[in-house]
Formats: sequence, C-alpha cells, structure tokens
Amino acid sequence: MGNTVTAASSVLLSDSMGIVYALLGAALATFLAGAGSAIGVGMGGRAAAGVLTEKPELFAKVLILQLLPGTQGIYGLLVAFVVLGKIGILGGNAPTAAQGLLFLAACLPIGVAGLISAIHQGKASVASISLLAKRPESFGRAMLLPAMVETYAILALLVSLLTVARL
Amino acid sequence: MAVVPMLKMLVCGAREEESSVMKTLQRQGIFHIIPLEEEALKAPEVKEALNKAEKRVSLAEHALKVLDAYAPAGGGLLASLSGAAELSPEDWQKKAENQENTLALAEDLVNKEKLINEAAARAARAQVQAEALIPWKKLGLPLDFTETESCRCFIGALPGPWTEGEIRSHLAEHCPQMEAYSLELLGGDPAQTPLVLVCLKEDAPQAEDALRRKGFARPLVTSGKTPEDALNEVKFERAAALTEGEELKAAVKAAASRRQELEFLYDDSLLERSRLASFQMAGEGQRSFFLEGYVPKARGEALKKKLEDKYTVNVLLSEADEKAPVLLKNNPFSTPTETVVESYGLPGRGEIDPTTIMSFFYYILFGMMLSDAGYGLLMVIGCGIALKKFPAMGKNMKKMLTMFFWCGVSTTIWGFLFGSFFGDAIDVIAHTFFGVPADKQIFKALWFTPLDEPMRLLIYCFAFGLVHLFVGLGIKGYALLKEKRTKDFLGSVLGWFLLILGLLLLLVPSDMYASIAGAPIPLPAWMGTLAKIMALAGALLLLFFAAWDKKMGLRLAMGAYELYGVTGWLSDVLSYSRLLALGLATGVIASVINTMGSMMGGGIGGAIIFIIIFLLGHTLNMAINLLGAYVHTNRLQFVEFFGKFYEAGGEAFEPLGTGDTKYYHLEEN
Repeated sequence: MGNTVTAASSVLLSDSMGIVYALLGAALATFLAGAGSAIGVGMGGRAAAGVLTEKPELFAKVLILQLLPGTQGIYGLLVAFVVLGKIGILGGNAPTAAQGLLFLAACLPIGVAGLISAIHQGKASVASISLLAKRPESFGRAMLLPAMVETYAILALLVSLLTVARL
Repeated sequence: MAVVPMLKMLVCGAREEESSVMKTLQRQGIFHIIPLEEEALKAPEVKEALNKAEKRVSLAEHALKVLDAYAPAGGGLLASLSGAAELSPEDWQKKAENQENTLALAEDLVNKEKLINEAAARAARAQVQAEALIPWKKLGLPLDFTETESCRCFIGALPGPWTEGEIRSHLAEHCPQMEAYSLELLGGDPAQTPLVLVCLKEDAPQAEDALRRKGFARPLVTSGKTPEDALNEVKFERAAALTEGEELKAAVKAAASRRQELEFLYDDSLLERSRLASFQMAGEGQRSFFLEGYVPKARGEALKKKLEDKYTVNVLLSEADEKAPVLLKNNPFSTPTETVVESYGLPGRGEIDPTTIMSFFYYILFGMMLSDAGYGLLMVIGCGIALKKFPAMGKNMKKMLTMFFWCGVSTTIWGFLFGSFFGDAIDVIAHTFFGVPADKQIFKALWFTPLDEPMRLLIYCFAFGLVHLFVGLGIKGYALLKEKRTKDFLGSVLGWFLLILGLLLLLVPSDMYASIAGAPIPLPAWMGTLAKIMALAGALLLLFFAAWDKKMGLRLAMGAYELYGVTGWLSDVLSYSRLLALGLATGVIASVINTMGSMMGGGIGGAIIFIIIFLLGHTLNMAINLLGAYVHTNRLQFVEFFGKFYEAGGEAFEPLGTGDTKYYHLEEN
C-alpha cells in the first residue's frame, strides 16, 4: 500500500509531468472562458435576431451588444498562448512538476471568472438588446451595462497574465 | 469648450404670415420652439394637415422601398457616406410646387406592389393545386364522380405503397360476398397509392368500411373536370399569374428613372411634417400668432432682424432661463467626442461642458488600449480617406469618423511607444523570410515592451488613472468654487485630494509598493511626516465638512460614510488596470497570429500561407479589439471620470430645422 502511494506520487511529481499540468492549465483557460463566451454570445445572438425581425436597421448596434461577452474567450486564449510560449510548445523550456502546477493554478482565475462572467454578461447583453429595441437612441447606456460585468473578467485576466508572465 | 449661451425669443405676428415665418425659421435652423403656455391663446388646428403630411411621408417611403426591392439603386455602403445633395431654397421651392405627378407615381408604385404580391400568391396557389392533381393524372373521370345507376365509385388513396394483389386480398377478407368489382391503381409513390374502386351499390358500405380501415382518403382537390383538364387549367392560371407579376415588376423598374422625384417628395414631406408639428406649440389669437423658444445668443439679433425685415412681426429677445436647452460648442479636435458626452447626457443646469477635457483623455485611453501602430495607421488612413472623399456625409457619421481618426493617431503613437506594429510582424517577417538571425530584434519599442515588464505598465496605468480621476475631481472643485460653495469644496474636493495624495505618499516608500514595482522609491523622512499630516487633514475635512449643513451627530455619521468612499477610490484606480489588460490582449494575439502564419517556414508557399493568415487574423483581432477599446474607453469616462463630478440631465437643443432630410439638403441662405 505504502509503496503504491510512494510510487504514484513519484510519478505524479516527476518532472515529466510538469508539461501535463501546464497544458491542463492552458486547456482550462481556453475552454472554460471560451465556453462561457460561446454561451453568452449565443444568448445575445438569439435576442439580436429577434430584434432584427422588427428593426433591421439596428443590425450594427445589436451586433456590438451581442459580441460584448465574446472577449472572455479571447482572454482565455491569450493566457493559454502565453503559457504555451513558456513551456516548450511554442517556445521556452519544459517545466518541472512544481512549475507545471503553478501554471495550472495561474490559469484558473481567467478560466473560472471568464466562464461565469461571460454567461452573466450574456444575460446583461440580452437585456441591453431589448432596451435598444425600445429606445434605439440609448445605445451608449445599453453598451455600458454589460461592460460592467466584464470588469471582473479583466481583473482575473490580469492576475492570470501577470502570474504566468513571471513564471 | 462650452455650453452655448441662449436667449429666449418670442415672436408675434399676423396669422396670414404664420406659415411663411415658420418656413423661414426652419431654413435658419436655430430656433428651438417650446410649447407656449398662455391660456388665452389657442393652439392652431393643424391635426388634419399633419396627418396628411404624415401620410405623404410614409407613402413616399413605401414607394421608395418598392423601388429598392425591384430596382435597387446600388452603391451600397459607400453611397450611404456620400450624403445629401445640396439644393438652394429657390430650387427647392420650384421643385416643391408641382408634386401631383410624383404623388400619383408613389400611389401607383404602392398599388403595383400589392398587385405583384397578389399575382405571386395566385401563382403559388396554382402550384399547390397542380401538385395535388398530379397523382390523379391517369384518372379518366372527373374527381367528384361518385356513382352510376347501379354502381358506386370510390376515388381516393391509401397511405403507403400497395400492390393490386394486396388490396384485392384485403377486400376479399373484409367483404367476402363482394364478387363483381373493378379495381384500378393509378400508379403511385411510396407515400400513397391512388386508386379507383367501382362496385355494386349493395356492396358499397362494406367496401367503403374495408377501405377506411386502411386509411382510405378522398383526394385533397376536387373538381368537376377530369384531372388532366383541371391540371392544364391550373397550369395556365399559374403561367398567367407569373407573366402578370413579371410585367408589373418591369413597370416598377421603368419607374426607377423617377426615383429622385420620390426622394424629393419624401424630404419635402418630412420638412413639412416637422414644421406642422412645431405649429402645435404655437398660440393663436384671432388675427395674431405667438411663438416662443430659444435661440443661440450669438445669432439672436441677426435672426430678429431677418424676421422683422421680411415680415410684419415683433420679435422680443430676453435672457434665457434655467430651462434653456443645451448646445455644445468645442474646438474641432474635441468636437467629435461630443457624441460620447451626449450619449451619457448633456450638461444639466449650471454644469460646465466636459467635452474638451474629456476628449484628450478619450484619445489617449483609446490609444493605450488598442496600442498597435499598424491598426492605428489603418484607422487613420481609412477614416482620413472617407472624410476627404465624402465631405457631404451626415453630421453624426462625420463626427464618428473624425473621432476614430484621432483615436487612430493616438493608437499609432502608443503602438510605436510599446513596439507593436501588427504585433511583432516586422520581426517575424524578417526572421522567417529574410534570414535575419532570430536573436536580432529589428523593431524596438520606443519606450518599453509591455509583455516584458507588465508590472511597470500596470503602475503607469494606475498613475494615469489617478491623474484622470484628479482632473475630474478638480473640475468639481472649480465648479464649487465658482458658485462660492467653499465648505462643500473643503468637504468633498480638498479633503479627497489631501487624503489620497497623503496615502499615496505613504504607500510609495513601503514594502508593498516595492513588491509590485520591484524597487521602492525612497523618499526623505520629512515627506513621510508630510504625507501623514496630509492624509489626516484630508480625513478630518471629509469627516467634518462632507455634510456640514447637518446637525453634529448626523454630520459626523455622514462624514464617516464619505470617508468610507475611500474604497470606491481604490476600485476606481484598480479599474484602470484594463488599460494594461486590453493593450496586452491586442499585442499578444497579434503576435500569435504572426507566429501561426510563420509556422510553414519561408519560401513562396510559406509566404502565401503567411499572407492569408495575416489578413484574416489581423482583421479579426483589430475588429474585436476596436470594439473592446471603444467600450472600455467609454466606461472609464462614464463611470470613473464622470462619476467624480458630472451629473448631466440637460435637454438637447433641437431647433426646427432641415437637418433630418435624407436625400437633399436645403442650403441656408
């Protein structure tokens, strides 16, 4: 029993696992934030299509509102690429197990905050699109409300990015 | 940088001239009419005329839509930039006199559209009927044929595919006594089997029952003619409907040469409608009319003279009251950002116009977020060409393009400072295609590269944010001092300045700052003491003067609450970290695109792949980051900056004018 645990931990903590953890982090950053953005932009798209049936002239404006929750996916991608550039895939050297786990931890903020904020930003976008449908002149305000949600994704991005850049 | 001062203007004149006076006012386009509050005077009866004008507008609009549908004007996006054609008042008058023909044309077009739709519906109906008739084509009998003297005839279909043998054995099973009958299958498809069954009348009920069990149904169409004849007839009908539709469409296309007449009708009716809508706000006595409104101070006298020279009217000018509408006037560099201020709200009573100060920050913040010289240059070139080529474009479009022009200039400057030109495109191209050694950097940042020193940039972002916020607070202080509200100034402006600056000076030499910036900034000891005094003084000012007009207990409680607002300052400053995040996003993704493009290596093939990926990738990256920079620049202005001093709530100056027209622009004389 004891031997098995020791063996397992020696495999899990061996330096060849470092890149696995780091990649897992990059994957989480991309797919969690990306999935959130997909959900958010999808919600926005449905609302936008509804408005366009009545007011096709609002196309450019509702498109902007629909796209607002799309940035989290980009932030996730951004962090993932910086990681890939440091762990020997697009550049840099393969990390040790401890470094790999650090990369994994550093990717979590943008992954999780990206996922959740994009979904809620999508909901705010939907509401803003209906606001725009009723009052096309209030585009500035309609745009600002969903942008408030994004602040938290930006904060998460900063933490992820600053950490990853230093590792 | 200012809100244009206004004068209140009262016009009274003879009713015969009311219409002409209104026209002159509309052409001048500087008179903002307000409802006349005077009970002795009645509002003019213009409902009917207004309805008529309304109808003409929608008629012309509808007719133009019909033309667009069948004879598109072409031109697309660029044509929408070219703006309205200029027309002198004399020419306008001439054109407006004879519009009977145009009205008739518009009605005719709308009518034709109705006929086209009807013809299309007829053709579609005939098509449906023809499809329903096709399975029965082989039937020599009329579809509604049911019986002879001694026989019943069942015409209909069984669902699904059947063979004759299957049907016969089914009938034998369910009506064994039936011997003499005739069954004919009329072809069939997998979905249904059309058939004709003729049997003796006494066997009919049982035979029908046997067929019904298997879902026998009569044909969907019925007719006294044989299917063949009916089919021919329907086909003929369809062809006739289609020809009619084509002829009508051709007639509509022929009318395309008169599009300009319709466009003029639309614009002219639009002007008439807005004039009549203003009429409703006037007051009429028995022989006189009265109009009240606002006019920009600088042009009030000239307008008064113009009206009094031309008509027998009396014009009274007086100082504007507090309810005066707001018109902004700024230098050409700042004017484009007026739209940003407008979308937040115009300055309310007594507030100053923040446009000019904001515009500098706006351009700088936008540039920092996009921060790529390549994207910036594209914006400068694109907007520059559009502005140069289409000088007559709409006012708002012009403002927007000018704004993005200056944003582009700023983006270019920041791009060079941070060493980003389509990301690291120059170096990637040089390394991949021109054999420059990979460790030799060609395109260097003039200042520093954000990705190498993100913490350094983060601190600059915070510093910049603090300047932005302090300027906002300064504007508030200026406004308060101007109104001689010194105690308010102490409590809500000076207190904050002292407290924040003091805290900042305490922070800079600390370990916390050192851990972020890498190295502390040593300050002499007396600075530390000064900082403590400043912070303390600021806190006390806030505590005692934030609500100085309340009783002591409440005053301190509200002061303490104001002091709690320091957390708000913290989050405001942290909010500027988005400058770094968005700037990095642009640069890193641009570099990723370049790296992906160069993965195929050098050579012709590699170059082609690189160009394709470069064009697609950078278009996408620029679009998404333009959107991001625009949204977040607005946010920093609206929430952080305006939050410090700006209340807004002013009503826009909307003079009766000629600005709404779409196709022609009435020149002012």
